[in-house]
Amino acid sequence: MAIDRNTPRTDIAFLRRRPHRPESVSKASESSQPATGGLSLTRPSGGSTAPTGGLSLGSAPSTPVPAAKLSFDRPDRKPATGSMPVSQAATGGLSLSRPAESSPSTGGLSLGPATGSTPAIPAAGRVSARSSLSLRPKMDAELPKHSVPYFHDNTELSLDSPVVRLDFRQSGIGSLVIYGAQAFAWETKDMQGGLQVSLSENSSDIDPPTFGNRKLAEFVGDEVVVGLRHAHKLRRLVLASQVSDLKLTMYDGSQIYMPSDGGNNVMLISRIGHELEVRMEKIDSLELWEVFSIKLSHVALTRS
Amino acid sequence: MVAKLMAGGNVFLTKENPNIHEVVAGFGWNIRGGSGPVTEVVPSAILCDASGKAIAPDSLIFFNQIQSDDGSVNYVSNGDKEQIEVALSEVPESVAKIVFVVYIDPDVRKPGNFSSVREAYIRIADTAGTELTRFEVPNDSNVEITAMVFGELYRHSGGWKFRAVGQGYSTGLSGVAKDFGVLI
Repeated sequence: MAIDRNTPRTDIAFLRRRPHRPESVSKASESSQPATGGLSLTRPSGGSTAPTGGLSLGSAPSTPVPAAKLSFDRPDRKPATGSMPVSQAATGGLSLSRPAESSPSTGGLSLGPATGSTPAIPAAGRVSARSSLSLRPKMDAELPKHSVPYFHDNTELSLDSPVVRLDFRQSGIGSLVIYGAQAFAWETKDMQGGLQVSLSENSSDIDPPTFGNRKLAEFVGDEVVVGLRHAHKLRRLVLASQVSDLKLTMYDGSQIYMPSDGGNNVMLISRIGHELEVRMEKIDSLELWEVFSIKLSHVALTRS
Repeated sequence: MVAKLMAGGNVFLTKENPNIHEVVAGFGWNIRGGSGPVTEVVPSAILCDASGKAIAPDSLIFFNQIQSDDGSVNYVSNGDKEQIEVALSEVPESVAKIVFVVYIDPDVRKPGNFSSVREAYIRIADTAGTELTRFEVPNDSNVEITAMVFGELYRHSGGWKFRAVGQGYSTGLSGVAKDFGVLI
């Protein structure tokens, strides 16, 4: 079969890049810089207009609370129109409220459509694989620079070192298994999104897309499993827990540990080109899906 | 005339096709399965030196790393199930052979094995699509096989040969990586 050499390959630039892994994790001043398409978690001023009905994991105290205190309130079937109640907004910590179906993300944080994960490659770099091969451009000069350290050993994320990047093999082979999460919000490249909660049995959660009869991400027992074969469809994944710290395990068994601080910290997994970035984000009294401007694709509000 | 190879057989590509400078390795297979998780088959290529080891720990070309560092090997998908293109004339001298490994993606959720893979093959074609040689992997039970070397391109007398291999691994991609010195 003939080879189509005219099909543009926009991902060549990233794939050609072979960064050398740093010997040590960069200092906080470097690591805290957002990567391409990074997030700002500034608390919006004033009351949020987020819908208030839905699933709630309750407010987060300064210390972890036992699982028995989690509440799974039945969401209001009517689209919420008011602001977040003061009692909820003022409590601080993690809330995994399920928004009403017709309510858009209206919080103070607006990240807009998913353009952040696409590398800013100059038009000249968007050439076919073969033509880029023959031209041999100096792609390093055209790529956006970042100071995110690459994962090379078991790592604990912290305020000083909140982010680590997985290389193309760690981002593409097997699965990621995250232990300790109670819920996660997901978003695909085509801007579909949803929320999954671990304790849901009669689930009305919004399922991620399925490939090869495996969900892109799902709870398997107490763990969240992210399949990497089709992870190029994933844009972001936000995992949270009020009662457990999070531990991410890769194919080779190496791990990334992240303290959840009672739900004040969440683990954000973002796709940057062909690599995944794992970041600890501190959130503050905002709904999980809203903090990251993840628009839920649809919401089935029935829950027994 | 397409040379169909048995495991261990080889063909002198550049001797029989002296003007050939690029070839395409095409991979195909069918999956036998039910409603459960589907076995995910992933073709890849490892660039090796004369000792048979990878020229670098990251010289694994697959769907998430689609071009070799030197640009001579590219993962393309314009036919078959998947394709890997090799610009023979641009392969660095340090590369003595290019090994084509097909592995089952090691997802923790019932990854499967080669027992559900049927009619698997690797074929070598020129850039016009003319098939030069083909190796059809036997439909053995392969219950324990989770990765397999389908074939390899290797230098010979100033040219390039292709050899059908068909060597299975029960240790999956990690076993392959250990054998070839690839870091995964």
